[in-house]
Amino acid sequence: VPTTDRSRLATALGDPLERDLLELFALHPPQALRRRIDRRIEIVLREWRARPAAQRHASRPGRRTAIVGALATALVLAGATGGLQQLYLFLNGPFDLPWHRGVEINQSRVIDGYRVTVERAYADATRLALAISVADEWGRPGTTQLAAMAATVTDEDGEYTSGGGSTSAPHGPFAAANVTWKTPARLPLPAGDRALHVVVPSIMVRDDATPPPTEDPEWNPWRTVPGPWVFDIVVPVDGGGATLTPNAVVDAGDLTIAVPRVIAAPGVVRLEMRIDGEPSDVGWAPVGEIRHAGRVLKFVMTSWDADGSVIVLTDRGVQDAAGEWLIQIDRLSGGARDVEGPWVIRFDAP
Amino acid sequence: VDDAARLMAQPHDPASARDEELARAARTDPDAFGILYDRHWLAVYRYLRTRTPTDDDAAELAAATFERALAAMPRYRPAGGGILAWLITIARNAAIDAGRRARPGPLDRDVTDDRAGMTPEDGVLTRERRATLAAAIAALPPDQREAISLRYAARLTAREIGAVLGKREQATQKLIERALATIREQYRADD
Repeated sequence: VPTTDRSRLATALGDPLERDLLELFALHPPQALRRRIDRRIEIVLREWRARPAAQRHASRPGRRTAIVGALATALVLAGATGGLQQLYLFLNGPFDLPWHRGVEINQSRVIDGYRVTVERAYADATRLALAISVADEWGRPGTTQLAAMAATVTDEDGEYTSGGGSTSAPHGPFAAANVTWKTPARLPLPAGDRALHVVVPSIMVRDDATPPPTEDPEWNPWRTVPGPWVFDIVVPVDGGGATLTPNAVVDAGDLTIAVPRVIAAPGVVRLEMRIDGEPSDVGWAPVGEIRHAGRVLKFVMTSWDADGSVIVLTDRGVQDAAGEWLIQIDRLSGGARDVEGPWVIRFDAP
Repeated sequence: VDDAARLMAQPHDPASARDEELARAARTDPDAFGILYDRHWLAVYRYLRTRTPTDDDAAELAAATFERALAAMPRYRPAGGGILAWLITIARNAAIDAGRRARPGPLDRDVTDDRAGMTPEDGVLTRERRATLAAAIAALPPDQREAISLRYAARLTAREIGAVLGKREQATQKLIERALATIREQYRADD
């Protein structure tokens, strides 16, 4: 077992709690399992060594999958997803953004006859939107609905967090469409091409045709079909908008509202705030709007941490952030207690 | 907490600099990848063991992690927190893909279990204290529990944990400090 400087430092800590935590997690696999992991890695490395150096890059497992997937896409794409495109347009509000402003991806992977397709994608400094469809190419008897609700996205900076907005609309019994939003690991996302690793870990299949077992009151017609359907895509990040740092602070009674950063992107404006003072049981949710260049942007989504940081997203974005910004907070909603404003923050962006 | 803060804030140690050289070489050199594997398999296994119900599951995912890492080496960039944070991110994704959402695997186990492969240092923490500590960790909110696993199972620094969780270093440090404060309170109460 190799010992790194890192673990030596850690075990030298004087804090008894930290020593106990390190001990608690100092787990070792049984020798047989260790040998099994070693063998798996040895085999992969042996195969890699056996190839000429020039081929090593091109012949790794991930690339092989991508080539097979691309061929499959070319052969089968037309039938399964063509009718799905109109479904995305029924998804209201910002969820149609991949279709209005995004780019075509059209990458499919098929596992057990379930074709999952990343159809389009849109990214700006604040968010990534993916339009994903799923189709049962075998048209299995008993299937009454499909859903593809989950996707994980990573790039060189790490895993994207869920930005919400996921919904899966059915298209007959054998297909469905979904738009999901993700927040990048590092904000703001710089303009230019972004390589993304997208994993749809599983899909859901509904089967209403099979009668439920009478003895199981918990029976659920939805079942999970494991994948994963894995995609490597490149999405151009829309470079419009700007990152603004007004560093404005206003007093709101016994609370203080600070706005250290605003990321104004073409798809959405992300308002980063801190609300300090007496905490609310459920966190403080600001209600209000932004006025910029003659347009009104409503606050539509809010998330907050226990430490007082609050993120607000608006119902639309801005292409050009220059000019006067007015952030008006009408009310802070705190569950059992609301604090009435309004409070106004003004600043200019060059 | 002072010790913890100092440790979490520490810059990358010299071993990490060596890691980055190895990572660059591992894009084309199987031996370099083999060394990275030797250096980090245990951290990956220990982290995965906190997310899986059995040793077997953790071993399977650890092997899958390094297979994925080998395939993805050309995409590796050191900016995201270093090679270990990158490997742990892959391990975390592999665990999520496998449907094993964060749950305190080894903390669920029977604390009287005399585990095979136990090292002498494992025996220092008494079963009773292990149970108390495990219960305190299990009661933490998921993000704090995850941060504790990354810190004490994978032994990542705050910067590296931030890279894995997509948080800033300072926010990660606060997350760990809050978790430690909660555990400490529970631990003291049981003393």
